[in-house]
Amino acid sequence: MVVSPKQRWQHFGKRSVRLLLALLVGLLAGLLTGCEGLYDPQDFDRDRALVFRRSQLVQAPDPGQTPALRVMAWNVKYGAGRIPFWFDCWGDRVQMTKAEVTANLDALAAAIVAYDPDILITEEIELNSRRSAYVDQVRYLLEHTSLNYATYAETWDSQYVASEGLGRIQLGNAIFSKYPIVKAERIRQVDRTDQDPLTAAFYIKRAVARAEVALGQGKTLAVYGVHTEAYDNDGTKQKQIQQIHQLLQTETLPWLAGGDWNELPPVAARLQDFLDERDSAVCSEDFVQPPYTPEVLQPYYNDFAPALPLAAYGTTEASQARYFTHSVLGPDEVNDAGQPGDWNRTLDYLFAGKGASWLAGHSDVLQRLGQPIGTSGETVQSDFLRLSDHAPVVGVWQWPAGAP
Amino acid sequence: MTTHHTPIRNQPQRTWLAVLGFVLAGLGLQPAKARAQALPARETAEVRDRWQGQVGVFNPLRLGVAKGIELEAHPLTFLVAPHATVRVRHLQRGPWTLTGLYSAGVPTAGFRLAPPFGLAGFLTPSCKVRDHEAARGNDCWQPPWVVTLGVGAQASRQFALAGRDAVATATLQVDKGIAIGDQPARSLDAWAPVEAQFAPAMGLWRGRLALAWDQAVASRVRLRGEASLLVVERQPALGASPWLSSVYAGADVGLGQRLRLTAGAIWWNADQHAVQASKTADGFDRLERVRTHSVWPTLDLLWRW
Repeated sequence: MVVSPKQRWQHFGKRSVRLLLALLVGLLAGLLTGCEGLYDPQDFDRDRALVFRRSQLVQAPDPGQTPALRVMAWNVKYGAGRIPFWFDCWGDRVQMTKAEVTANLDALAAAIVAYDPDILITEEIELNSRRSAYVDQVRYLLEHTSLNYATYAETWDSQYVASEGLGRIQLGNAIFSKYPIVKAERIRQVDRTDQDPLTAAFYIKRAVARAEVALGQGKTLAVYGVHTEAYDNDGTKQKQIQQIHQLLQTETLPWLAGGDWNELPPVAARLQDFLDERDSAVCSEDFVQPPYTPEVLQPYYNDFAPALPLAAYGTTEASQARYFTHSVLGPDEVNDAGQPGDWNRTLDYLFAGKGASWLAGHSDVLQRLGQPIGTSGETVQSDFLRLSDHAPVVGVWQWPAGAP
Repeated sequence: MTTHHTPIRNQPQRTWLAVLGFVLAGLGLQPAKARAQALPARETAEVRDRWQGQVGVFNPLRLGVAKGIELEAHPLTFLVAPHATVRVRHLQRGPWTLTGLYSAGVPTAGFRLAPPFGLAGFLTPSCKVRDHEAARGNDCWQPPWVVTLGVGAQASRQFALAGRDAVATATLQVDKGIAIGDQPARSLDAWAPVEAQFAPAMGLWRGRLALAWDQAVASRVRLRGEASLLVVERQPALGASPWLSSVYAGADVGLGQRLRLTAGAIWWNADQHAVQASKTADGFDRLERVRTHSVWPTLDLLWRW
């Protein structure tokens, strides 16, 4: 049968219509499946966290019958050192070059190696963010320290944050260990309720990192890494702090918890007007620094073993300055009154529980080069004031006496 | 069976429809006339005659200014980011049309000004600290002052398919942003359509090859499909692939003689620095770089005169 050109075109026309309709339906179906979401809503209560292993394991010391572990908890400011980023309102930086990130990470790694923790808890560590040149900072620290395992609990995952061109962000809490991490999870915390829906969708989703570390001889330690909300005006931070307290109270294993609680200790002498705050609004007309509520941390001191007891802080600002862990402003910058930046408040802590304790004289905040570390005889080997906007809290955690 | 359709004008109880029709006629929507004129294809190599044109809510204004010459620009953004494309019909022979595309613009103000005039504070930094205290010496990257230049060609071929028309169009275009001053060119690293659209405005270059098929399925309904392959300059140090691809499918519905609704969806595939976790042989996690798929709905109202 001879098919005329007209019939051929008719047939072609029908086929092309069907193809276009199929394409349209397929594209609309693609809206629902197989696409990267604009952001991760982190819709879970407890979820498995990623666990990474160093490419070449480093021989770890045998913890023995009664493990005593060197612990460091440190908010590493996404490897930005003292580069003034826009959200702190002392600069306008949005993005770092790869060279800047690796130089900062090298300095962080050197400081970690110098203290040589068995357990390292980090906050504000990034896996794949535009502002830190998409460097996998968890992998970087694993490969440049003697820590063998790491778990990463993500708290912020957005394809693109359209705020100052921030871009893709993947940030969270990470727990590093010389010893095997046999279980890792992230535990969701409540979100802020004082934001518009669009901002809330792309904002941080706070979560607690929890790792079970096998110390050999049947001993397993639970490690918690925390980083609570900093900017809310609706009591979210207080709820998160209370939730963490409840989690720790119900933990069945010997545990330690470290991180950035974004709250002052209950004996804090200064509650406002810190030296790194602006005298007048520069970046945001409507931002108000939420007031601190130190009393919300009192239950931790009542129920758990702090690496630094409240008595160590003293009652005056001068005595408490020795344990300050945070300054937005670095020593090479000055505030509105011309004062150079320095540690000016305590926001970071280490606690232990379920019978565990801290070796006396070995707990401290690593603030400055050459500073003695407690009464241990060790001294600080790194210029921590220039490595991050937080100083690490350290201590030697001890397995519960008499426990199997 | 024979059916009788009583014309609207012979039904006194529907005079309100006639009034509505008159009002709509004033806006260019004339149901009676619409049935007689087929909806033409869009985004082809066609160049409108003098003073004929087209504009959409999101689609640019296109206006014939002389025989075989059309100007194209987005009216809403022109004051802040002056730009224009000149479309010149170089050849029209039988069903074939060949049109040259020549564009230029100075888009930078649109990325340095804060809302409502620009996008600073959203896609680009707003530099509030630097502007407040120059003495602090903070460096703040802003997109460099850029002149964008572009050249391209569009070729269309019309087909008649059993009384309905179809148009195949091929487009090839290259655009480059020429940066002036000491601010370096940088990619936005944004969602694929934004990355592709604004690359020249960031001082980078972009090439695009697109193939489209636009077919009438009824007198006032058309279907359109388009596949594009783009290459967009990225920051080498960040290691992103410069290749992007997109596929569009949609429908145009004539709402009257001059107005049409276009709706559809466009799938993009691009390297947006995404990573995905997978397992190693011994059960640990590792991250792998993956390309991003995304689907974006499209919607517009186009007025053509």
